[in-house]
Amino acid sequence: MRGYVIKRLAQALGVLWAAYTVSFLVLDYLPGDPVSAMAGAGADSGQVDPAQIAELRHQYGFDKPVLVQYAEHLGKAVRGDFGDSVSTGRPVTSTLTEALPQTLQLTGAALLLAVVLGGGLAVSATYTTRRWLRQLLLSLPPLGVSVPTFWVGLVLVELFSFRARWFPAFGNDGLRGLVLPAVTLAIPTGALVAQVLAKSLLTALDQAYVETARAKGADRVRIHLRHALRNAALPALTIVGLLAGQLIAGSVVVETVFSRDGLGRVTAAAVTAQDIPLVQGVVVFGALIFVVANLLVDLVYPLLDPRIVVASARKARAV
Amino acid sequence: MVTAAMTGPLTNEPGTDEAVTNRAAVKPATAGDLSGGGSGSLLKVRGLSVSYRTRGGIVRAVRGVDLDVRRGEVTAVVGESGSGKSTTAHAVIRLLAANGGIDAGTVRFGRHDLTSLTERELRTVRGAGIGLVPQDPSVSLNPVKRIGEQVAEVLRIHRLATRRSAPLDAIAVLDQAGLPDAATRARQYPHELSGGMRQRALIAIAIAAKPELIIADEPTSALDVTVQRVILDHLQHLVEEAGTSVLLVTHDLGVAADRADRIVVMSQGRVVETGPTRDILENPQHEYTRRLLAGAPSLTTARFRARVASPPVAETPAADARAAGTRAVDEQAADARVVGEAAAPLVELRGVVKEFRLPRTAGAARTLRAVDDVSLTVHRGRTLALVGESGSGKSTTARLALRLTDPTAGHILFDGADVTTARGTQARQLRRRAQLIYQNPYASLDPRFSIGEVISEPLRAFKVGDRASRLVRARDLLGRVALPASVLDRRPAELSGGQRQRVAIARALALSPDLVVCDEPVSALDVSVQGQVLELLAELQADTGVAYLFISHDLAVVRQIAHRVAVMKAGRIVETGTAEDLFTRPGHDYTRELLAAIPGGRHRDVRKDLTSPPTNQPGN
Repeated sequence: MRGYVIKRLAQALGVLWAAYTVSFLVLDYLPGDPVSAMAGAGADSGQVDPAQIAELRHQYGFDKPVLVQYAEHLGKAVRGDFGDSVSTGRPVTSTLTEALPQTLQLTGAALLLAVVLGGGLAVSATYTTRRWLRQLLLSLPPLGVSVPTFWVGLVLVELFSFRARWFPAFGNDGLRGLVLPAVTLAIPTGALVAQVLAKSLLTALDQAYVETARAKGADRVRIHLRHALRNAALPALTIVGLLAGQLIAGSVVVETVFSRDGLGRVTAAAVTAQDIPLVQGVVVFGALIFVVANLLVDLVYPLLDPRIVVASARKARAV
Repeated sequence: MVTAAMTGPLTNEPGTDEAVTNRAAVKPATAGDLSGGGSGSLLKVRGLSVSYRTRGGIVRAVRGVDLDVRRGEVTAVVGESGSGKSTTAHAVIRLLAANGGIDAGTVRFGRHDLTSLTERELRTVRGAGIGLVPQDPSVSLNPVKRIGEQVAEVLRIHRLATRRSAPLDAIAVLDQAGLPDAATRARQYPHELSGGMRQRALIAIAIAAKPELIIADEPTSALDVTVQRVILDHLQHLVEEAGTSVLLVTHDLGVAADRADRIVVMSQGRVVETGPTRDILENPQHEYTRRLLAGAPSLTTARFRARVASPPVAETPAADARAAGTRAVDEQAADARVVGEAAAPLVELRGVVKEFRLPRTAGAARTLRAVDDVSLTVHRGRTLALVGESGSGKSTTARLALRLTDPTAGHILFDGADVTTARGTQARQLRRRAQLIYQNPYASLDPRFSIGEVISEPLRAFKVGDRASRLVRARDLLGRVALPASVLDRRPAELSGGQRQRVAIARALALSPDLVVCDEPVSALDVSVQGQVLELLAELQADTGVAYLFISHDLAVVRQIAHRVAVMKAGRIVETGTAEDLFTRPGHDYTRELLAAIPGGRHRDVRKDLTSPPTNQPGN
């Protein structure tokens, strides 16, 4: 078990490093650097003193060879310092940590809704013996995945804010303000959860051990919840881990549509302003959230399925 | 209520031995009460018809089946795959797949017709009145639940134990089912147990609520023969002690012969013959039963192997004459070839060792010696059988001989050349001269290839000939394995298991190899088909002089095909000899144990008693 945890941790660090390196290289390769963006932001016309630009470049270290820049930045990033935003001048790290709670609230609520609604949908669809109902329920997830998030957001705002006036259309005020954005974000996410869970539930219900349970005299509820669900949970759990990344990406759209402050808004602004340190900070931060979510999923696996640790060890034997 | 009537006298102290003995003592009285004068039949199936709705229309799997299981007796339903035997057994407790349904008939169990019960009433019968021992122990236990929980669940469902008492009761039942160290096992998960132990756990689940009837659906066909025998012995002991009736479903007439009081023979959804075991075996009336009896490897003494120069010990002249008559000319030719080349072995393994690393436990690295100092030779045109139980290292040995895996120590010679460390071109040449036939013909053929493509794939891989000539070759090979040329454009899914294995054989022979490794080539096939495939293999050997390394756990099959046999146990070869010697004069205890475990032994003894004076033959 300890070996398993250490291995997963090492993998997580590897992913973070790769995210940092790739984003560094891509941003370095792109035309335009932060200094010209900064200069452009400072003066409306393009008339900036070249000497001043050279001075700024030196100050930010952009005149050094790429590898040296990379080593310096990586060294700082490891200590949590991603430099200063070139558009606001504030440290990237504090910009992100201030935006984070809003986004965590949103994505956390969305994930909870997605798991509850998606899971509920999957279980009801496989539990019902009515064919038409099952078909109807199983046709919902593809629909949920295929409608665009911003459109769902706009429709919800139209219905529940402008017409019914139940929830505010934008802003960050409290729980009521959270409902519509969270629902918007939860729809595609929950649809994926439902899709995967329903599929693996149907597979699990077809297994021989389910027949053993039926032969014991177990009723359908017991078979569903005690036998099939736990076996079917693993693929769904994998999806939930992967969805953590998608939720962060989705928050860009949802926070923009609902004018909420948060990581998504920061990302959108940073990209528009070519704020390279901030964009890189967002990339690494996103990767961190993704990695942590998947690490949690990996740690939950062995609790759900006692075979997992053994399986990873068995692979080593087959060498 | 259903349960009250059926489990009433049995509910006291579940899992204890007294309860079992009580039960046996009480039985006659109970039987009288419940059967209602029904001539001692506990289960009475009349006119049962079952069909499945499929894409291709309605498949009538069971058509008007009648069968009885008497109190305290074992009734075996025997038939090949697709005969409807398993469907019949499952229809009794209405455990059919979602697309299956009972069309007609009654299933009288005690005083109830199970076909007319509601789902709710039926649940009180399942597990409590009728226990099921399923087919495949590797998939029939819930992988994420502890063994003890899974046994306790039956007791909890039928309220035979409280939440507190269930865990201990479960351990008692596991112990009764013959699981060693039951308390420890109860805390383990299915994957931590061997196949035999899992089957014991499933037996424990079936007997936990002390049902009157146990339905055993191929309970041991996924297990090694020796384990199979021990488990069946134990199951028999349990049901005899408790007076339980058993409906035993099996494809193996040998198993039925050993265990059943009555046999029901099924074919294509119908019962073709039924009667007391001895009558069925000694005086089969129906033509299908006779065919089944002739095909059963464990009951027959027919030989398929290509004749070789060594003087054959004719045990049953009739069978030998039958086998020889058809191919006398070929065999003489093959004999000549064999004699000429017998001196130089085709494949030689010298002191080969294969070790696998095991997962680290408590810091120390451990290794498993899967193959431990094995030396063997395979001669041209001959068949060497490697026999052993799962885990004995026989498959690894074959993989070593094919150089599909690297030995830890020792040498491998192919046609005189040392190929132990062959790489690149030399290894590729070896691939060309040594081919493999897999166990499962359902998995070893690419479902998207046409049969023509499957067979000619080795030719394409080695760039032999052009498109047209490869097609000609494929057609020729199909002819050799006795399949019509029209099969060329079909897909594997359209063929039966036996036909698929013929295709796999044709593919293996495409490059005219010197050696074909057959890894359990018939164990996934029906008995009657097994015989045909073995016969084909022997014919092809006589024709082409190919050598077989034949891996099998089934001594009865080996006896039909092998010239020489090497018995493996725990990575070592414990005995080698000609097939005749090994079967008539086994030298090693383990070989004797394997021989004794072949099902059908009792029936063979019966026959011997009837036909010839007793000799000191092994077998029981």
